[in-house]
Amino acid sequence: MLSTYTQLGLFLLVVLLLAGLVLALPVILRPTGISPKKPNPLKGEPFECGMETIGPTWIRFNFHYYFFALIFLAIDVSTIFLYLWAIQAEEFGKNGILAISIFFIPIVIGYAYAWYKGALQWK
Amino acid sequence: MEIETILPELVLAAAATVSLFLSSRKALWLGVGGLTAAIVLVTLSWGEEISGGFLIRDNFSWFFNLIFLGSALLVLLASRLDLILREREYPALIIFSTIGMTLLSSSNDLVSIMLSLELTSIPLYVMAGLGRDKKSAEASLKYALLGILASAVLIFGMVFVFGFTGETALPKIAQAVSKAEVNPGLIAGLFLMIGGFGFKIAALPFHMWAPDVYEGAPTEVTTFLSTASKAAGLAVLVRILSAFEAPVWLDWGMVLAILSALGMTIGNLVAIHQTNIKRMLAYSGIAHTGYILIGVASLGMDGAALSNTIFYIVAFALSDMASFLSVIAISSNIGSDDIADYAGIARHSPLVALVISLGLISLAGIPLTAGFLAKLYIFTGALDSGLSWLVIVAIINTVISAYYYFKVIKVMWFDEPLKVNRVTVSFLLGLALLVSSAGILVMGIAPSLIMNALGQISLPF
Repeated sequence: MLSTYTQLGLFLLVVLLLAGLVLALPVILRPTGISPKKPNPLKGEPFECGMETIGPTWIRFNFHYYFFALIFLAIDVSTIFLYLWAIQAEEFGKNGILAISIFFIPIVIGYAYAWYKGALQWK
Repeated sequence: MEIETILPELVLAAAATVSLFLSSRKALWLGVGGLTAAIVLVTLSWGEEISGGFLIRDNFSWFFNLIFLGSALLVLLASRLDLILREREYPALIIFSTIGMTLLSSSNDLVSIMLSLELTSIPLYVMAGLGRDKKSAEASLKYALLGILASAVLIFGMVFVFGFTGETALPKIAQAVSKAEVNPGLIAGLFLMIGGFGFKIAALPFHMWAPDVYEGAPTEVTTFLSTASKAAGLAVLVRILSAFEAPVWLDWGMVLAILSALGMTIGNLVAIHQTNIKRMLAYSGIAHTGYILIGVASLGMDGAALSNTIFYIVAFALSDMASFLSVIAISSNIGSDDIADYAGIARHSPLVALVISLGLISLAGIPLTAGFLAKLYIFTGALDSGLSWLVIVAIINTVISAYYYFKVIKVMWFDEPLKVNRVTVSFLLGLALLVSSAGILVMGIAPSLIMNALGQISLPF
């Protein structure tokens, strides 16, 4: 039994060593001149990582953003489940309605609670 | 599955949800009412066995449910009024966490274990931060981050077990394991799961969060963490381990015995040097997890080990409850958690000093208290199952632990008082103190009362 895992372990070891070697290759080859170090501003740019930022990136923004984001996320994800149920609603019948309301009631209560606490007011 | 299976949880969930929309005092009373109703429901269903899919309600889970509901009720009664008035969600958070625990001890499937464990933990992370000061925030963040890590380790272990048995239901896993040959995947899975639960019960190599969180969190939350949360982790650990009972090549008993010996020794030795009473009780709790793990380690070998272990869990929960509740009373009056500031408390407020002394004496394991009999049962059980080296370690540790428990008692009764500041105790806190200290004495003098009930508990596989 154990011998089957020995092969697996050896494979893992080889993979890790190979990955490490590839990462270290530029540094190892530097003295040979195959991979010279020539930095320039264009190379230093974050390649294909969106727009270049304008102004300081460490700005403060309203904490209430998180409340909205969280509530949006909860409702958004539940919509996906509602959608799945809705396209098959007739087949599921009464039990389906019961199940989906058991699923949905806690979310509605949570939403009502957030509303009650004033989390939906932009201050 | 019938609706009665989760009736106590439904009552609790309704109470908690409604209490979110009420004023603080009404929320507190609704929470107390919901917990009392759930206790009545659980007591009435003692002896019934319902199993369906993800959940199994047997005497094991009913009994643990009583422990969780009882400690939640005591903690809620004993909470300081200013905490309750400031945090309206506090009763609801305690109840949501308790629902998680009651489901956890009744879980019969890896999926429901994971879900109810998260339902238990997430409110606890929030509650640890309710002190609203720097230390409390640190406690909350530390607990949350490490708790998430522990959950990840736990899920990783579950994935291994699922992968190598193809099942998530515990009875089916038990069948698959008993037929399996030597299997490193199952070993890795089981040990990762022990690691995950070891975090929840603050067993030794996974205990690092406990002192900081216990110290920083409001003392009410600390009480809840060290009694109910620890008992919940132990309940689910016992249930999972019983599914892995059969194979000879999977000797988890020895692993737990080593963890237990380490936990007792290091927990007790570090507790000696603590100057803060909450940190001292945290390390004492780590040591007591070690004592409990002696019982868990002998589960496979000794028939009485299950009831001995549960007896110890109850005795520890009661003694720790009495100690921590007195810490709430004393610290809110003298405004400090340092043991040195407890000097001469007994001169001006002998009753509170008596309760905390009783709790500490029971933790030390002196006769006529619950702690003594609990240790006696666990040690004799371990001797019967051939763990005599562990019993020797445990007895040496009991002697070490007596030193720091009695140091606190000495400071309170014989040192000169620093300030003459009478400790006043509110009616409800007094009631909780009375219940927990009466529990310690009743269990210590008439153990047959609880042992009879424990005799009716068995695990299905």
